[in-house]
Amino acid sequence: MRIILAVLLAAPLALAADETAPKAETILDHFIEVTGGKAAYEKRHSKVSHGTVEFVGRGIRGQMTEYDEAPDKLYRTAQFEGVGDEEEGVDGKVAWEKSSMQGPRIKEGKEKDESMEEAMFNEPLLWRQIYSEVTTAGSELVNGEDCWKVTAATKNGKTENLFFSKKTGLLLKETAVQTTQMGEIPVETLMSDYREFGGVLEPATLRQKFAGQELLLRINDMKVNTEIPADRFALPPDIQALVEKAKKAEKPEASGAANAGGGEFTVYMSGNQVETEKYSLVSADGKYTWSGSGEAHMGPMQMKIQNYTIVTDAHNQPLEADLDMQLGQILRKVKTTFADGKARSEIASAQGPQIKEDAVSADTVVLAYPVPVFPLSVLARKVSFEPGQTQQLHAYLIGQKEVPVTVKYLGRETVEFANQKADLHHLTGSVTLQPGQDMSMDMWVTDDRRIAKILVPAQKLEVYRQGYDRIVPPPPPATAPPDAAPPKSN
Amino acid sequence: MRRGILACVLCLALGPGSGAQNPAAGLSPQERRLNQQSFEYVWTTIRDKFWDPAFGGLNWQAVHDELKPKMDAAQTMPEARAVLTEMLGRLKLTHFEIIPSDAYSDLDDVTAPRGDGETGIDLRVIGDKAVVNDVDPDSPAANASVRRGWEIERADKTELSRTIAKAGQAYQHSSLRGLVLRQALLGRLQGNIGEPIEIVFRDGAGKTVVKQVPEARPRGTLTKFGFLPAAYVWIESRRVAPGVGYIRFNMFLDPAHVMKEFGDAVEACMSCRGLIVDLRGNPGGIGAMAMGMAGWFVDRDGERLGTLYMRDGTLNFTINPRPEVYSGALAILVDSTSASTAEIFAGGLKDLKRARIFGERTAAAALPSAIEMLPNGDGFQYALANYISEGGKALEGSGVEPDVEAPWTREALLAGRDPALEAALDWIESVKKGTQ
Repeated sequence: MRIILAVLLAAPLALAADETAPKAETILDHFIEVTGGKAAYEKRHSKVSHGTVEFVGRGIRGQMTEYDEAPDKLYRTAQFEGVGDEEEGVDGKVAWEKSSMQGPRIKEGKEKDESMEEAMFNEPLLWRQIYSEVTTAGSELVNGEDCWKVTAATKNGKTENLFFSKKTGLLLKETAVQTTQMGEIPVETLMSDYREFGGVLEPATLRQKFAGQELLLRINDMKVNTEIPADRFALPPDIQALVEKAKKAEKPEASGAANAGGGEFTVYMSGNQVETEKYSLVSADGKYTWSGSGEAHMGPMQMKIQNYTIVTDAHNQPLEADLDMQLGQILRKVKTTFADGKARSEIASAQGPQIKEDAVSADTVVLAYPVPVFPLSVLARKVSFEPGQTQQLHAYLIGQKEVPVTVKYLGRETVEFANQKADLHHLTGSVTLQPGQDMSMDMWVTDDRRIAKILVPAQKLEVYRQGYDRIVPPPPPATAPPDAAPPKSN
Repeated sequence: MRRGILACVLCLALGPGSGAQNPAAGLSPQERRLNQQSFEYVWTTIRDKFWDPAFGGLNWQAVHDELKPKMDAAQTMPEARAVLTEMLGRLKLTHFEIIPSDAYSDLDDVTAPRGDGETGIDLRVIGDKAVVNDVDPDSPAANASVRRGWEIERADKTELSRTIAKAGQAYQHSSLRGLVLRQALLGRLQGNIGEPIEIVFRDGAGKTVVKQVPEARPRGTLTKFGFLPAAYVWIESRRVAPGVGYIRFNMFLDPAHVMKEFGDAVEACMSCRGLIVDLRGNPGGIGAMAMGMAGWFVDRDGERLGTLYMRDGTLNFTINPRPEVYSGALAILVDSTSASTAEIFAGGLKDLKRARIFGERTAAAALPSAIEMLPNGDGFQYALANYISEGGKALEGSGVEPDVEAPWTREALLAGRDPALEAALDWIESVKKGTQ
């Protein structure tokens, strides 16, 4: 009996040579089982880990301590010789980092999402919450061990590749593009030396390779369910100061300017979230300043809009615009001033600086293509709500050229969202990007001219303002083959 | 899933190391083997990590095949190092070099470093003369009444004019001339702590002055970072005029100490009309410190000093605005001995139109690099990436041009003046507080 049991334990997910790959859901659930099981995970509510960290081959070493507490708190600190302290934390709402070299900062956007995810206690148990889709993508060797490869799409648009040993079910490798303040960095993490900590197996050695460097992290001890002082996860004073500063920036009345609007948009393509952005609108000294930032993942293309600012006069005529973005590895920085019917752009890129002048109309709306979308708000403020009238306007694609825009007001209509029904103004129009290439769109706008929703049917593009939630269509009926045989425990 | 720590600690290393060479000695079979392994390691690292996979048109395999026999035939450590240096020299870039193993001093007794004594003199080569441009106030040179503007003719037995002529010829048309000469000449002024060095000066009146200047422990805190040779790091700050702060530090190292002092100095000067950061004589250090320091002067999210271009991707030198940011006039002083991270800091803030630059063109040696230990015990420095400043220009090879040229002159130094500092003060006077 013992021998048979040993054979069963040795062959959890390793099937015959003509094996059929198990479903990704099965592999991920099996990982929970082989590392201790759901009940064991749920008995843990806090961890305190101590270890060492080393930049391999660089002579830079340090000590590391990490505190984790359910449901979503994390504090990590490392002391490197010759460098000082590096800290990062998540208090459930704010994700932050504080470096002896780079100073304190609050994480935003995708970087914040990733940190919040990492802080989720018992993260392996929560994979259904983290991933929108998981797929078994074949098998690969990791350090000589045959592994199932699972490709997982996170709900914020990232893709992770997870490699689980066919023999043990343990996670041995993960590859992902990690968002940092310095950019998107491909990271490969190798896990080994699994040990039991409070009833759950965790890797005690992690080796991370990124940007030509290798970081070796060893956990020497981990105390589970230890009482952690409440202030361990409190925001350090300079992080708290940054939080207060950001709040004040969202309320520019304190500086004498009026907060004339702003908001956040989410963009979907073919039903998948591909971009998020936020913007502010400030009115001061007879001018409007639109300022925003965002991140987009459209298939293999990644785009980060560090900043896009447009300044118009009180009549929404452009005065200046400033774009700073990164498309994949290509940087683009454009500063444009508008005067006397001309747009004068200073363009800085890896190829060097250049100056460009374009003729523009006084009523031109300054856009960046394809994102961000918030500058269309300027168009929404300019158009007339006169029914039946076709309006000819212009859009200047910053640093490129002016193109014609046609808009027609179709009247008021009730639009249904996942969280409300709203009475909105419907505009339809088209932008001629190239001669003979018109991009049609429909826009729904509130009484105070804020865009609530945009549809671009030809590109299967949907845009929703925060507060106007997209209705998720029901999934198609399942046509997949029956489940594979249930996994055997390790 | 767990990601562990991801901390991008980027190192922009200093300029050429100044360690002493090993005396010529025959190599044992093991030493030969380690040199050969080091050769392969250096060549492979460049092959796999150099950011331009075309090596700027250089046939990297051919370089290997040509130099391998020379490494195999090397009879001494200096000969072996010369082969590696020649290999790296084919790239024609800074931040590729071999650091001799004896540049890594014994740190066990930090109270009495051996052979690392300094006089407190700083110098620049003006024309073809070594000229004292600064004397540390608490130093033996100050106690010996050495004056700024004095020419240094001889240090111990070394006629400095010969060093200047030899090194100056090699770097005649190079932006590195000032940096290399300063380091080479300062090395001639070093000696064992407590022992005097005889220095022959020519004073402002043209008279010869001979001084016996004791060597003292260098100014600052001994700091170690990775495989960079240990170095003494200091920072100072003061008011140079009513409402004008001044900060100066010799290297971008020892972040725990330097960043704190830098920040304290800025915070103490938040209401100043102007702030001057003096990077003359600063050969660089940890790149991330430039980002952190810039955060005290740039209050907009998403700004960066520049971008690294590696073979596999790019990294932004992003600035993190501090909770409170200094908004007054910012002047940065640079000269031909300002290099690497100093150039990234000055160049980036200039491109962002946040700072005005005074002095001389910088050394044009700004590449982020790593330093690793070779099997033979030498250090191997190599650039990880190309670096483009925010204005779109590569600093490597071009440097940072000052907005206001204010070079060192002997006449000014003899008169107790500092042209670049004076130009910065004049500019601050002309600028209203809070605007530039």
